[in-house]
Amino acid sequence: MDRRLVALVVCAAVAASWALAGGSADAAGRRSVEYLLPQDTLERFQFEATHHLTTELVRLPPEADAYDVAGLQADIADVTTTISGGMERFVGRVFRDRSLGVVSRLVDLDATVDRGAGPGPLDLSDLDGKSVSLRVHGSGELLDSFGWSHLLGAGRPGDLVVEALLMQVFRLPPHVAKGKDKQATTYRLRFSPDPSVERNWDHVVAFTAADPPADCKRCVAMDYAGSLQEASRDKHPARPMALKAMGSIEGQMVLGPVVSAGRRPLISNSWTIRWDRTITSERAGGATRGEIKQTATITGRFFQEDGS
Amino acid sequence: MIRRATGLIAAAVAVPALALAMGGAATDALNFPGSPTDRYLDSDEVRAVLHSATEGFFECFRTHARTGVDASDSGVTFTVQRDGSATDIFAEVGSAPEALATCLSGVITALEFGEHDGNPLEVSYPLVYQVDRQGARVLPYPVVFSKPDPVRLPLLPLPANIGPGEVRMLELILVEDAPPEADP
Repeated sequence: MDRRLVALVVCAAVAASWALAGGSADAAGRRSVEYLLPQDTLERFQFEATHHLTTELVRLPPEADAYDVAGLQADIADVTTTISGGMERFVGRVFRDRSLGVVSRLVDLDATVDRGAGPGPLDLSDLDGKSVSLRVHGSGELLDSFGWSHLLGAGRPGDLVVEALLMQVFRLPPHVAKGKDKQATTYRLRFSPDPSVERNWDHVVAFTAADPPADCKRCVAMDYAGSLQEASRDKHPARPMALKAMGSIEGQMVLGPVVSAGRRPLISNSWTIRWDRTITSERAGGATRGEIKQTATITGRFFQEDGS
Repeated sequence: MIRRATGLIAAAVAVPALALAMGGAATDALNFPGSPTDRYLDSDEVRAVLHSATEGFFECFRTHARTGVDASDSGVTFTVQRDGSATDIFAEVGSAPEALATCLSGVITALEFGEHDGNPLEVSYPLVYQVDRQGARVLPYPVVFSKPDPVRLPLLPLPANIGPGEVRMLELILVEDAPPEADP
């Protein structure tokens, strides 16, 4: 009788721990692939990205009449920006739920901007050395992030590095896709450029097996493709704005050999993201004040410094 | 026996629940001051360092200011660089001797604000030297003034080289009310 009770208690404890930890695959150990995020190590990566952004001022309020809107429209209508640089990454903290506080610092940045008259240099000295801290599980599940407010916002170049910072821990499927098997993930990625703003990117992504580079032994590669959706709102009373967007994402990631317990280092991640955005500003009563439409195509790659 | 088992099960449920609840503690925030994931300096952290130097400031006043009156408009301004050092230090000492300014600047120079990844932070900190029946002392000022660097139009991704004038124009068009016209 006693043994049965003890067994019951043990089972209840295990079940409770699992359930209260969110019932996540991470906590239950059902996941067979995770990122290797080594502690006590400064990792060095490289990244490159091209942003093609078109912006159209669709609807402007009477307040616009006082300004040279045509000149502004021409300046932002069609802009292509390229950026490349390094990223230094280290695990700064291990939290009680075994998630990790990863600090990623941007270094040695180089960029060009093209408004239709050919590429010219873009000064990124304001961005060089800035960092973002991400609290993530080994699966890439993003629990929290900090530092965006020092990078983002109009007049700052942080938009050029958002994808690189997030795609370094792109959410992995529960298992490595093999053969014709498809591994699907559905999740919302959140980050806050400002305490009043929460960007929500809803992902529906399917992973399929791909061929790893021939010189990468015991590596695995996965293609991924899916849809993105964003519905974000600026709750700051002085700038009531909303952003709605539909998009797509596709790419390929290569993971290195298993180091321990399904943990693999990220060798590279290449992506193409397309967004169709509608950004509106609102008056106090909720009526639309201005409306801007944008398309963004972002192609990029994040890879180990000595990787291919 | 059943009661004991029930108690054990309740404990088994409660302990992880408590641990989970603790997961939301302030210390678990990525920007908890002093944690390795807090790579940006804010005015609260600067204030903590300045308050730790209150004794040093007091020594300067005790040595170089004879009364609280001649040092009533005192304060220091400086810039915290990314390496944590203070530069561009200026001490305002009112009608007190210049030696007081030199001494206060020396206190600031010796402070270590910690490495950070943000832009150099311009700081202004009032120094309140008070002499009364209780004696002389420096009162730690509760506020550190720093130049705000707000995020502008965070929901509108814009080309990286857009000028400050164009950003301002967009703010005025999209979100800001026109300034009231001046009376003739």
